[in-house]
Amino acid sequence: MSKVLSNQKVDVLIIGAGASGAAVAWSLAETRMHILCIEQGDWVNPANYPSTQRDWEMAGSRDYAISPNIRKLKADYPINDDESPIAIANYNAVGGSTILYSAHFPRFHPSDFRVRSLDGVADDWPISYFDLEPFFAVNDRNIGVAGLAGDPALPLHAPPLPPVPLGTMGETMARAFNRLGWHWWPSDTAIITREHEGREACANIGSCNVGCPKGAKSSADVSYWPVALRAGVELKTRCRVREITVGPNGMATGAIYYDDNGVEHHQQAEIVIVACNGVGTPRLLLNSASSLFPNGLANRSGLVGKNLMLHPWGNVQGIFDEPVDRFGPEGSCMLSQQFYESDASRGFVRGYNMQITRGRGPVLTARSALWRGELPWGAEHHEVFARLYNHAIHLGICVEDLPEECNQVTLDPELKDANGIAAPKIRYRLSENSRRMLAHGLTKGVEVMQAAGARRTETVGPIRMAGWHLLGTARMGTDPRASVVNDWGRCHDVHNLFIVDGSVFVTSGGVNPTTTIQAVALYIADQMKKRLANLFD
Amino acid sequence: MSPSTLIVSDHPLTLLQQQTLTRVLEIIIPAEPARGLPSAGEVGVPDYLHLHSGDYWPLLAMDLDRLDQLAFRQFAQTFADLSVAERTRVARLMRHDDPGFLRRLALETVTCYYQDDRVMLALGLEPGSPAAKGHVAHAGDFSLVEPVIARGEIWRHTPK
Repeated sequence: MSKVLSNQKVDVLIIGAGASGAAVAWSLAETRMHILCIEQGDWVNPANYPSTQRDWEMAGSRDYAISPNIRKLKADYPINDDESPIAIANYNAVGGSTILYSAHFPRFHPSDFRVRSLDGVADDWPISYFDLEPFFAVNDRNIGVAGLAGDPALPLHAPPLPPVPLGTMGETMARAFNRLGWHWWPSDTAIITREHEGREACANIGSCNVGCPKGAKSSADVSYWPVALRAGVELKTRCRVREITVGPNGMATGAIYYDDNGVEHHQQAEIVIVACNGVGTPRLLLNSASSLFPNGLANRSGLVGKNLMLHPWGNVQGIFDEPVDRFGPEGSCMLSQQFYESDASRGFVRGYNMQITRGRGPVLTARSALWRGELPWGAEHHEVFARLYNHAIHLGICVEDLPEECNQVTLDPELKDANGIAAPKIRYRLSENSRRMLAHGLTKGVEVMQAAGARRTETVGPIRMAGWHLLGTARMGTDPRASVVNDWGRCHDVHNLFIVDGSVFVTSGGVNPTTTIQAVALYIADQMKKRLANLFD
Repeated sequence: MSPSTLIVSDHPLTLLQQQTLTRVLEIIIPAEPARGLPSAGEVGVPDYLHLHSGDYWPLLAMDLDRLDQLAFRQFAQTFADLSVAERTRVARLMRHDDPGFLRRLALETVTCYYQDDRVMLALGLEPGSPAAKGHVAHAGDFSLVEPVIARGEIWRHTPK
């Protein structure tokens, strides 16, 4: 057996440097505790982003693919998602999956925290929107959220920066929503639209989803981490944690990790914080089984890995006679929450978000049209292409996924990562409620596209390569028999072990979750700071 | 187009296959001089394949041979020696019998084609990577939210 190096004990060990790990590190830095974050990926150099290269549109199918099973980079671990209609998406680096996110930044609604009380399904969260409201605001400032105050679909909040451009595309769709009398609003977006905290404003490069070379998209590596590091937080990259260790008293003692050279280290810590997302976190806890925790660490409830929620996703493409506009942020410039809140007459409970996104660039326009048999060979090629490129608008449908114990993350008995650590296995299916909601969303999406003047529409859903939102697998609650962490993120079973990522979500809302994940992480960090004197009681 | 990076002696296709490839690329996307658009035979597709799809050469070589054999059966000439109309007919026959015929070549061709400087300029785009300069975007009319505001709050109130 190789020698295990024992590192100097730290006060706080954070595992994972993505959206939640970065936010919690930033918040705890003011305590002046010795805080170390370890991350299996590395810093990404913006100069290497695909958008600095001619072939940028194709990078999404190679090193910047959203599936780790396609990328297969050294930082990645494989995920067996064969038993799921939705493939898992992530990115392993400082900044985590925010490196590739579209920066669409809508908040959960107050009703999302009271699903059982309002609709009789799933469970209520032990905290409310209003508990998180101050942390949403802090996050908006730290991230530099762009948006327009006054959205009637949410309690009043005022994003600090002006909204991203609507463009001709947004105007076209806004008029259509108005024609139908439906809600729409300029999206809250984690893209800085003017200089913010030393970062330059967005230049509408339009390649957000394969990384922003300008640093205007507020991925965690360019927003939170520079500040946290200046405040004294230590960050080690290319270090993959195998397991969290526990002492005879059942408290966490640190973590064993492999460095870039495969050397095993034991990092001791007074407090361990897990921030590895809704798949990575249960994987780590299940891999940390011991004689005290034979079913996985902090898993006396049996709920670690269960209740996985993924947000089934649909897309409606509208093709227009008139050109729309090709330049602007790649993600959403506007959303509609007309069908977000429950309405029993629709045949399902809860609801969904609609978000408008730009059509594809020339390469992906041509490839997808060719694949569908729409783009011919020969003299007609140019004419058909001209009618497609810069004539498409997309409408994404993000369906609220309700928790079900049968949707789960377990350990694959055979598949392992490069360090020999068991890989996660996903078992997931769409509920009937999700299917009905998605079908409703696709129908309504077509309706609004037609109202906008689309000459043709196409629908697809659920989309397989869309498993970005990894939620619910170490849920929050007050009852240790029915939850993994308490109402401020501390594991019921291990009082110096905290979870701060989307795993703790009780329900999924119907929107992209990153701002809510970061608000929850900031809330938990704040609770820890308030309770430092008796944190483990 | 920049000079080919393929060393002639290392080319994975025979000379005949290379000629067939050029001609079939011209069938997939012909030139359209009025719009300043070159044909796909002029934009360096073999180099692109060399860089990104090395595993495709053996299958491509077989398919080009099939095309040439059909050309010979139909017209007693190589594919490259046929007229444009004859080439188009042969390619159409092949694709009629095998709808997947050269589909990957077509995908790689459009991928390469729509990155070419002349094509990007013809589409009104700056050649090269999008990060070079960025773009000016039309802000749009935010007063369009007024009817939405007029309809009032739509979120469900919950106890604080």
